[in-house]
Amino acid sequence: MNTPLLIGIIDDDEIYQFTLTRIISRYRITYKTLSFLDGEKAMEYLTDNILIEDNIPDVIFLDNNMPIMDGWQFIEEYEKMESKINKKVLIFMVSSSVDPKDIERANKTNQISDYFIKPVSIEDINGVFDNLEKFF
Amino acid sequence: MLEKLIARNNITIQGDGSKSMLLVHGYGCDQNMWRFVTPQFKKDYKIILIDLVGSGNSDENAYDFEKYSSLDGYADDIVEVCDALDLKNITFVGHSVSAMIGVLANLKRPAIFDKLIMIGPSPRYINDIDYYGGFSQNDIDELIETLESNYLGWSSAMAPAIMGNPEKPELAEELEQSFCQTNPEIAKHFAKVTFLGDNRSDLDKLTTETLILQCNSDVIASIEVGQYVHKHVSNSKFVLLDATGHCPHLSAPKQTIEAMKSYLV
Amino acid sequence: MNYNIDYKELYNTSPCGYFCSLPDGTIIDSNKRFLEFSNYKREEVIHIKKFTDFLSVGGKIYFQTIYAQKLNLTGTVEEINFDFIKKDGTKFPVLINSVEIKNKEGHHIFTQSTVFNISQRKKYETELLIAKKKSEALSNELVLKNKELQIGSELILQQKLQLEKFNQELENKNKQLSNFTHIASHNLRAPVSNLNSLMAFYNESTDTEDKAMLFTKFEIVIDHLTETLNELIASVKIQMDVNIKHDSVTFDAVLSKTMQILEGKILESNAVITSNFSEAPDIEYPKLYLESIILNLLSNSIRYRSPNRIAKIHLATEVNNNEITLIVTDNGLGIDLKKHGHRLFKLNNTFHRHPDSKGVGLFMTKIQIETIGGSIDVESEEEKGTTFTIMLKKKNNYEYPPFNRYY
Repeated sequence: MNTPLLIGIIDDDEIYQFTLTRIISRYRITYKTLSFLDGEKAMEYLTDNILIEDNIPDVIFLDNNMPIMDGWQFIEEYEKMESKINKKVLIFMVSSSVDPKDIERANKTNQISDYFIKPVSIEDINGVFDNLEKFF
Repeated sequence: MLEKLIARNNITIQGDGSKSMLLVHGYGCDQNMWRFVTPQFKKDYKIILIDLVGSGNSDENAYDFEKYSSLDGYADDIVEVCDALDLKNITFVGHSVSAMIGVLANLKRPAIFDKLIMIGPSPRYINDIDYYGGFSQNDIDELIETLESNYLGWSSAMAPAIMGNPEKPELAEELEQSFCQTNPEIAKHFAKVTFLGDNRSDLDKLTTETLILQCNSDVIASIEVGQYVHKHVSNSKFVLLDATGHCPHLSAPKQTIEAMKSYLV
Repeated sequence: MNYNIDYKELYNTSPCGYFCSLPDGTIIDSNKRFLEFSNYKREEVIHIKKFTDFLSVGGKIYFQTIYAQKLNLTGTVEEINFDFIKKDGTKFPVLINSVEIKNKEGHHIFTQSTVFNISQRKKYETELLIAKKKSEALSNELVLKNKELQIGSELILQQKLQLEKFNQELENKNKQLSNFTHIASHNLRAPVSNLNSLMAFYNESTDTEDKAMLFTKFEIVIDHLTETLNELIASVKIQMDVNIKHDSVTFDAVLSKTMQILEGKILESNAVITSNFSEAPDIEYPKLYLESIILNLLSNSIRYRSPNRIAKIHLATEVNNNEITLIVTDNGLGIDLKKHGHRLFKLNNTFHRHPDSKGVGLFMTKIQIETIGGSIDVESEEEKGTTFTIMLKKKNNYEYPPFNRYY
C-alpha cells in the first residue's frame, strides 16, 4: 500500500484515544489517524468529505457509548450514506459493554466487521491489520 | 337508641296514668295476652307492653343465641327499655318465665321497680333434691319434640311472613294467624332456657314488694312452686286464684284484675 | 234416591274423634270414635277427664303455653300435633283442631275439638323430619366447609398478593442490577481498562519523560473514576434512605434559595426566571431533595439556554389526582428526544457540546424523585425549549418500597 492507511477513532474517551493510537503505532504500517470525540462530529466529517475518496477512513474504531450521537446512532446514519461512498470502510465496534445484546446486535449489523471489548489488546489490533485484506 | 329498642322489643305504650306499669308475656306468647287486663288499668297507669326478643313482633334479627342463653339477656333488655323510656317506680307484671326475668332486672336496677306482680312464677321447672319443680328432663325433651313436630314446614311457610314483609298486604292476615308463633329454632332455644334454668338463689335477694298470683290447677307452675316462691321472697303476698291453667289473665281475667287492683290500692 | 241421614250416627262413627269441653278443659261429651281412640269407657271420660290427661307432660306444657293461649286469643286452633296416650299407655300421633263456642254475651262456654289419627302420615313426617335434620346437618357442614374454603382462598389471595409484591420487588431489584451492570460496564469498565492499557505502557517504557507523561494520564483517569464512584455512592445512599424525613417545604422558599446559589450565572446569562406556585404553595417532601431537584433543573435550563434569545424559565405547581406536580419550562436549546431520550437520565451522558456538561445532574435528580415515589417526564423540541414535568408524589402515596425504584 502506497498511500497511508487512514484510521478513524470515534470515542469520547481521550485516554482511550491515546492508548489506541499508541497501540496502532507499534504496527509497522504507514497510517494517519483521525480523532472524533462523538459520532456526530465524525458524521459531519464524513458528510463533508463524502466525495473525496482519500479523506474517507479505511478503518474506523467506533465506541458505542458516547454523548450526542452514540455508536449505534452513527451506524444508522452511516447506513444512509453508505451507497454514496466509493470505498469499503471497515468499522470495528470497540465497547466497554459486555452486554450480550450489544454483541449480538453488532454481529447482525453488516456495517460492523467485528466487535471488541475494552480494553483493546495488542493482539486484537494485530488481528485487524494482519487480516486487513481478508476483510476487504 | 329508643327507636332501635322500640323496633327490637316492639314496644307499645297506652294509657295516660301518672304511674307506669310494664307487662311482660311469658313463654309461648306475646304482648297480645294482656288484652283483657290492660283496659282496666289504662286510667291510672301508663301501660308499657313489650315482646321479648324472639317472640311476637320483636326484631327477630336481634335474637342473639349467646345473649339469650340465660334469662340475664332478657333482664338486660328490660333495664335498657326502662332507661330509654326513663321509667322509675314501675309496677312490673311478669307472666311465667317473665316473673323471673323481672326478678333479675330488679336485682340489676332496684330503683326502677316499685312493685312486682308475678303470675304463675317458677324459679326452676326441673325437680331437684328437696325441690319439686314438677318436671323431669325427659318431660322437657318431650316438649321439644312436640315443638318440632308442630313446626314441621314452618320455616318455609311462615318464615317470610314473620321475617317481615310489610309491603305485601296479603301477609297481614298470615301475621294475624302467626299470633304467638315464633321461629322454631328460637322457640326451641327459648324453651330450653326457660324450662332448664335455675334461678332459685335469686329469689332470696329480692326485697321489692311482690304479689304472687297462683292458679288453682296449673300444670306449668304448681301450687307447691308458687308457695316456694312466696317463702323465698321476703316481701311477698301470695294469692291463690280460683282459676285453672297457666294463664289466668286469659282464662280468668276478672279475678286476675281484681287481685291485682286490691294489691295495688 | 233419598238418604235418611242419621246425624247422631254420623257424629259417633265419623272417622275422627269429637269432644266438647268446658273452658277449664273438662270433657263433657265425646263421640264413640274418640272413646275408641282412648280405649276408655264413656263413664271413665265424661265429666272426669280433660284433654290434657291424654297427653305426655311435655305435651301438657305445650298445650298450656301455646295451644291454650292461642285458642284464648284467636278463638281457634288448627292442626296441632300431639302424642295421644291410650288407656294401656301406648301412644299414637293425632292432629287436633279446636274452636271456642261463645254465648250471646261473648263468653266462652265450651270448646269443640276434632281429633284425627295421623299414624300413617306421621311415619312419613318422621322420615321427613329425619331427612330434614340430616340435610340441615349436611348444610351446616357445607357452610363450615365453605367457610374453610373461603378462609383458604383468602389465604391464597394474600399469598398471591405477597408473591406479586415480592415479584415486583424482584423485578425492581433486577432492573437495579441490570442498571448496575450497565453502569459497571460503561462507567467503571472503561476507565479501568484505560488504567490497564496505561499500566502496560508504563511497564514497557524505559523513557523517563514518557513515563512522566503516562503518569499524568493516570491522574486524569483516576480523577474521573473517583468522581464516578462518588456519584454512584451518592445515588445508592439516596436509594437506601427509604425513610428519609419529609419536611414542610414552601416552593417559593426553595426557589429563592436556589436563585441565590445560582445568582452569578443568572446575572451573567440575563435569564428571566418566573414562577407560579399558587395551586400548590407547599408540600411534605425531603427539603434537601427538593432543593437539589430545583437546583439541577434550573442550572440545566441556564446552561443550555439558546444564544439566539433571552433565556426564560418558568416554574409552576399543579395538583393532578391529589398529587403535586412541579413543571419547569424553558425556551432553551432543547434536546432531540428521539435520539437522546433513552439516555437522558443516565450517568455521564451529555447531549450538548458545552464546557460545563457533565451528565450527572439529571441522573441524580431522577433517582431522588423516584426514591420518594414520583416520576419525571420530559418534553422537548430543538431550538424551542424543554419542559420537565415532575410528579413529586406525597409520602402517603407510596406504592412500593422506593429503594428499588432505581432505573
